[in-house]
Amino acid sequence: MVSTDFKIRYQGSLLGYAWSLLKPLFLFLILYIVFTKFLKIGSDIPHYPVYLLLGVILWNFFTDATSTAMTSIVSRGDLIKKINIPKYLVVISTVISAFINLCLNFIVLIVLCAINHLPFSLTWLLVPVLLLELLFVVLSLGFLLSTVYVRFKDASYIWEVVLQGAFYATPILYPLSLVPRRIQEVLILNPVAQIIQDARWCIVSHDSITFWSLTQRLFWPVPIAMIIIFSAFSIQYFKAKAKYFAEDI
Amino acid sequence: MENAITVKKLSKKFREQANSKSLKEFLLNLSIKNRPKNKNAQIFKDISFTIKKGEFFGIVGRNGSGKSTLLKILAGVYVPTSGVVEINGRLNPFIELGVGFNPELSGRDNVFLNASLLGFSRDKITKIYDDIVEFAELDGYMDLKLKHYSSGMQVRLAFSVAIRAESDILLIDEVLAVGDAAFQQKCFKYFDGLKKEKKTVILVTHDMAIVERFCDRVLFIDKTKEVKVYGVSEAVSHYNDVNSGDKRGENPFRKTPARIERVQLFNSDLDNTLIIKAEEKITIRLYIDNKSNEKSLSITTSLFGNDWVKLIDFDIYEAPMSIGLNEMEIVLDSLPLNSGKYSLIFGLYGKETQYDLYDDLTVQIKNLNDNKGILIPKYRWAVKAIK
Repeated sequence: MVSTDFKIRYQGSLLGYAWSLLKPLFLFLILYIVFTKFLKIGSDIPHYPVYLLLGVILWNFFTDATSTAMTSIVSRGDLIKKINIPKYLVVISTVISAFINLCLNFIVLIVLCAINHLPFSLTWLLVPVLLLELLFVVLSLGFLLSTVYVRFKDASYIWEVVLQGAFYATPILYPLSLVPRRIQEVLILNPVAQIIQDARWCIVSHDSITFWSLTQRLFWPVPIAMIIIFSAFSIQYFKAKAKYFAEDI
Repeated sequence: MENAITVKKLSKKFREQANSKSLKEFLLNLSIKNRPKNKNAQIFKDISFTIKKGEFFGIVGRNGSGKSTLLKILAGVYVPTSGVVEINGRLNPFIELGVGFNPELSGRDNVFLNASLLGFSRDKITKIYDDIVEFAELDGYMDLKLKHYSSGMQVRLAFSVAIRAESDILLIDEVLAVGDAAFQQKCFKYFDGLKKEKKTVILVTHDMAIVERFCDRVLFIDKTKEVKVYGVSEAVSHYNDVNSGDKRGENPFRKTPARIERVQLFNSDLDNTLIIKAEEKITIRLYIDNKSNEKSLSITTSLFGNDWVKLIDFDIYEAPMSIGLNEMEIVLDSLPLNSGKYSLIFGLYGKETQYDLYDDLTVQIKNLNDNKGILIPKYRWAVKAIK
């Protein structure tokens, strides 16, 4: 099932596929020009291009995967109405294909690291763990949002606005050090912000502010616990409603 | 014999969420006290039946009676509100042909997609791929995108994939409604094959000719959603009782200025019936509701035999019609047709367009002599010694 869903996505059109790869790169280019040439925020940060691109591709995966996962159940309604397929596979396959996009974007990131003469460090090896955490967050959100969307078709507009707001609430283009410490502590509770900052710590510079550096060491399980509680809730909700998807779409 | 499917006290209600299609409405309704209540549409109430292994089981009912809903419940697409459905064996998940077909993909990719939904592995599909293409008679078209296929080609391809399904129980929903006569022949051959292999087949249809030809038992869903299982001959006569001379409901999708409201058949004794003796005079009475401005309408009468062979097709041009309800009588003198099921179809035409098509009439002709073949021959014979 997953592999067939891949096929649909990838064989659609080559250009469409290239677009989804290029989208974060274009966004990166725009932000880079704005923030280094006009606003001058980025110019004091070492390796700002890598710093920015890392934030942009992670964020892009987050928005892309959650939005497509949200509509996935409804858009495959033709199938769900006719065959009894495990519904969760539909959500998982959309998220995974977005995840493949992210991995390809990472190749671009590595090229950019080389251009920027960013030295390789062993902490890079921690990145896959962070990606897994992000995948987990996105999957949970995908289950929740796709279920809500079956019932409320206008939820997608609301999610769009939420994403727009969250884009600025997440330290993607600005460094977290720009905001007061109190606010830093609030912002870092956002799992995406926490993951982006951790990834920057791993790849770009150990000066990046992370959840770890902001709080006492004892609190490190907090983000993980938050995510686990949230995903347990989402999965339960999805499971309870999935039986009725065929009727409600 | 073992049961393939057991349905016990099945009920199904559809929840219609009257109060909230959108989050906005939902939130608004929270503040209003007398918000609309959720409506439940009851489809089935406490129905029970069993389907035995190796049985060819028909499900018959009018449009909207819940045939497809029942099939979807059996397939596990819908969950029953209460009651139990026990499936004993591997069930073919296909209710319709070509599920998951994507118009943007080539024929080849769609075969792989469709077949993998049937539960085939990639290797297995590669093995049977050539057979599928050959059966569909689409050699040379497989790299074409599906959207460039004609609908007939799509159906052929879908059918060729679907019949590969290696399941014990097959659910089939009116596949025969599409496709030409040659394709239907293929379907019939496939059904014959299934019968020989003693597969369990559940077929939803409203074609009594197919029911009579293939089914062992038939489940009837009537207007009140009561279900009852009949043997084939009982089912056919029951169907005729229910449908004979019945006033047709208006087609909500096509409001036409002129329509055939009902059709009645009479035998030579002028009894209203759907069973006619061979070579008997048939009187057909058409009630035509003319709300168009035309003073005359044309009527086409066609008679189809088994496998949709067209036996008769004639036009009555510009029969005078007054505005309002008209009764039209057509008399067919002695048709030389043998025993069997025949479908009568009437078309109603104005000067420019077709107004209506009446196609729910199945006639049964009974020949008391033991002839075979479609036609009753008129013959003479003689023997003479040749020196």
